[in-house]
Amino acid sequence: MIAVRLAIVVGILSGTVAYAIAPDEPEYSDKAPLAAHSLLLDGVAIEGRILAVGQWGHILISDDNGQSWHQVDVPTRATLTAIFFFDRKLGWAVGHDAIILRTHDGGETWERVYYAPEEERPLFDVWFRDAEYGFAIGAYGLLLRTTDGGDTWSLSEVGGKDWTEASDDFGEGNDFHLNHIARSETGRLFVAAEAGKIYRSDDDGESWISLPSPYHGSFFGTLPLENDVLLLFGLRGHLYRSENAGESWQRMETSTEAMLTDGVRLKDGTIVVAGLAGTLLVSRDGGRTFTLHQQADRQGLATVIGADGGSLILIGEFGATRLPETLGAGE
Amino acid sequence: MIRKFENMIFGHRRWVVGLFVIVTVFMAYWATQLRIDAGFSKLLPLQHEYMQTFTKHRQEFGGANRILIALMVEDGDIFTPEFFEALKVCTDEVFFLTGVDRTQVSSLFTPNVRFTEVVEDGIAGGNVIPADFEPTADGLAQVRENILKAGILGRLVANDFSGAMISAQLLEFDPNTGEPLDYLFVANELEERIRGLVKSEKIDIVVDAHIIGFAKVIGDIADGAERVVLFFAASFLITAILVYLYSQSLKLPIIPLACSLVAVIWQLGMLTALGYGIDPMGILVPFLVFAIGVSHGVQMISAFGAEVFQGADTPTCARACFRRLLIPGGIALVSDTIGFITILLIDIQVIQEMAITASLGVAAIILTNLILLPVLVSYLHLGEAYREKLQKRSRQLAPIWRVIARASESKPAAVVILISVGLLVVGAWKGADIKIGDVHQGVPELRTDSRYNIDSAVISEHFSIGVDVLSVIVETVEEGCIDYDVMSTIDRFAWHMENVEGVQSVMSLTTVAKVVNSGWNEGGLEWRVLSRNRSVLGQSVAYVPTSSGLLNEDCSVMPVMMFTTDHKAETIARIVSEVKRFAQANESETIKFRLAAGNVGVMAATNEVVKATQFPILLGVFSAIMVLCFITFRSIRAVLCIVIPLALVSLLAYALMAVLEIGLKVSTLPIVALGVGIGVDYGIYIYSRFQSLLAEGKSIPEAYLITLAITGNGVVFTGLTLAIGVGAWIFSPLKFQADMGILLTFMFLVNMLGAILLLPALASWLLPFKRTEGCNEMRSRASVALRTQKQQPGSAAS
Repeated sequence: MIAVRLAIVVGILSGTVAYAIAPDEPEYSDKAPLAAHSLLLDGVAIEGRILAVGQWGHILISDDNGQSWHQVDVPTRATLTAIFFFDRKLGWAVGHDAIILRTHDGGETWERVYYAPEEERPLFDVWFRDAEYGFAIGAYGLLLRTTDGGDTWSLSEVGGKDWTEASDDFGEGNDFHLNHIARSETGRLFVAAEAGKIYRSDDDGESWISLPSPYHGSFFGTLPLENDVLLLFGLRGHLYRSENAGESWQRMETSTEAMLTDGVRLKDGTIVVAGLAGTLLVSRDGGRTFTLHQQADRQGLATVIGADGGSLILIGEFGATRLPETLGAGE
Repeated sequence: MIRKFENMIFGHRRWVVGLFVIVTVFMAYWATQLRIDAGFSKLLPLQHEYMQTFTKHRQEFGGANRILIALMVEDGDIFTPEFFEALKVCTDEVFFLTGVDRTQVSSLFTPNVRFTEVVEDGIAGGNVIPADFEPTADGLAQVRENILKAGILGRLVANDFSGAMISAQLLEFDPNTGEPLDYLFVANELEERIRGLVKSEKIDIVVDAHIIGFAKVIGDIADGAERVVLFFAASFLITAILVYLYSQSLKLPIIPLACSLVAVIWQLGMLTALGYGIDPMGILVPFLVFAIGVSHGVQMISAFGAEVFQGADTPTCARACFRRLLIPGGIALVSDTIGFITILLIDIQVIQEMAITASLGVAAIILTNLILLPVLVSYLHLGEAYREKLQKRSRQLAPIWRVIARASESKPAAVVILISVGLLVVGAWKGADIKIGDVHQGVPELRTDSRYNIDSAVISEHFSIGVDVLSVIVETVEEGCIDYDVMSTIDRFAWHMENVEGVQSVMSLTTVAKVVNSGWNEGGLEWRVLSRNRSVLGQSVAYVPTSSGLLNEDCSVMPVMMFTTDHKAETIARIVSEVKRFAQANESETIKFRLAAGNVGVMAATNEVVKATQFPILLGVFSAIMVLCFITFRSIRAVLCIVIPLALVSLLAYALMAVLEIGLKVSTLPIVALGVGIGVDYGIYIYSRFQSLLAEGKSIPEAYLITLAITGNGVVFTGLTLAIGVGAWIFSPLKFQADMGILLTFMFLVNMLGAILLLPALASWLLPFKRTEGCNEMRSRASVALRTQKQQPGSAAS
């Protein structure tokens, strides 16, 4: 076996104030009949409407629980990686070229509010506390913050003033890919990052701490459950559970080596964690045990969404599909 | 002039026969040297823009000349020690097949098939079948994992694990001899060394080998073509029996049959002498030449019979019919030749060879059937008994001719013309539906249920590899693959095309580069993008070998391969027009989208050539015929009488093709020209006799009745004989031969009907004299005419 060290090209930021929107006219994404069957990376369900984003600036909307999709005009061809809705009307989408898009009408029309292709740093997630205050996070420690609903963005970092060196065994500073951001019901923010990094903020992102990590491989998401319980997942089937907001972790048996990409808690309390190679891990006991349901086509899953009626919408390499039957317990 | 020529020929009969014998011996010798000559380039319209692109990049990308061998298990999956042993043995064997490019062979067992996987500290990789592979349960399970990681499921392994693939490229030239690769030999090796190996005792598991690729297609076509000899024999026998029945003599039929055979021998001999071989696609042409020879031979005996009827001795009769038929026969044959030569307009070598082969054959017929045949006939001694037989049959057939002859009376003629107009409308309506190119799945030359097409269906069912590929060659600047603008345009193009109906999937360097980029980033799907950074982009493409066929050495050329759902003409046209639309909107100084490579690319070019030449060919054939007819008969009306039925039949042939779902393509387009050429024979023979009778002052119905009894007789007979002979092709194992058979049968029959029914009907309305007679009066006059013709030996034969 030959092992090749990953080459990571590190971009170095100059200054702390982000660039304004590039002056050129945006290129619009191409409308394509097969858009719902090509790589999609994230999705969101908001009051009966499902939206999904992906390759080539595709944004798709389904108003019938994922059975049919229509593509909307989007002022970018960059691959979109994440979408977040504050309410039924107001939402944001982010992606490569550090693009940030905003909608005021539930996703029908989009405007470009931030764009910095020359930075070569993609954005991977976006989160808003309210209509004004939010974050977009991405590669090489990119953290953008807005306090005016996305009109202007300023650079920030998870390092900040409370940066701890505790588990920084790579000693390379704070330029890891920030992959995923989530907020628990107790009001804590968690950021899952590259190379075993996991950050937490208890003051909505004013300050961050680096949590002790159980693993040196990358994490791609957290799933906060009730109180301070949360799941953390990443490379090669690694799944951890914490009952104390990430102060200590317990490794969960997953029977898979696939990268785990996303998790969701359904209305009935069932927890589903998705991953590459068609991996679906299902827990019906609050995340204490998981059973593996591998999709026959082995296609990579990026996101899983709980839709009305207990069905699941899977988002990934193949686009968007709806799992009609609820996942059986236990077998 | 003709007299002089006649005296020269008949004055030296022995010399003439001797000369023919000598030439025939030489030609027969050469004919035995004839080789079957199949080649890939011959099938390409090389001058077409698409094929220029294809040829330009063929060296770098190996063209469309791949062989795929799928080994499928009967039941269960491939993970057994026996199957792996079988695959290994077969892979080794493929390396040593003639003409295989050994660097490009791939199967699970070749070292160029590798997997990569993401681990915590980077990427790990290795051969799918590791060097220390043991066919144990663990070893096989490991290979199964590696197959999934390598992303070769659907390409080298069946999607349901029921089989595995060996893929190889063929070189254009045999590296051992430097000669162009002998595809038939390769096909034979595939059959014996691979399929034979799989069935042999060396392999102790039941596996099915499914083999596809151009070499195999050619091999199967050649196999089918060999069976044409059987059809030839059957046809010869049928024709001989029919000619015997027709001529009422045992001796007489031998002569036209022998002369026609001589023409075929000459034709084949001349091919070798001129350095040509015969292509499997054109193997029917000698057959066609034989048919045409018989057709003209029958006209000769028919005319000869008519002379014998008058009581002259055979040499005199032979001279008379030589005189009488040299001009119309010559004109008819020259028209045939021109018909064949117009096919040269199709700029595809195999078709041009067909045109040359056919022209040579017809040229031979001019000599054998217009000169040798009358000379041979002059040696015959036919007794009084023969004359009586002729008279008896003439009486039997007379009522039939009387009915048909009414077509030249003005009222029935009007009905015939009205029906023809009706057919014209139907023909134009249905004929408009004709499809250019192939209408069905599978390799169009072979039948849908042929071994090859079944193999290819099995492979497309179990693997994700389509057998129909259209490649667009993207030409850009040096190192274009690390230029974001170039690569993102290609990526958009690939995605645009994937959305076109009829495109199953698209493979381009960008598809691979995005996956590799994601691999460098721990395999995350969100990294499946092209980087704007030249060095990062360089990393994404650096490990893609040129053997992938997705880029050339300096990555200034990157083909985008589109696997299509089928190769129907409309699918191809739709895809091609989308490519052009995208190219027009997105081409720049640095990036060009060039059509086309891949088998569907070849079809696209061929279809366009066929579409572009179909009207010029018809125009060429018809104008040549019109000019020749005008020179011969000196009358526009005569030209119309002869050409209008031909045009109607051509139109109806289009309609027939549309109804029977036979596409207009390289193998069927020539038929239209050939059919017109053959149809015109009928018209010229009939009109020439008819005109000479009119010149003697006979009325149209009178003249026509007599014409029918002498010439029409031969025309009807020939039409039926050839239709029956050619009809046998319908049972050919080769689809294109069957299609040709159907079309030619139709052309022979309907042209015959057109000549004996529509021609006189048109004459009765177009020709300026003796048309205004009452029906009854006319009928009585016609019967009088028929009686007269029988009593006083003015002409008739039948």
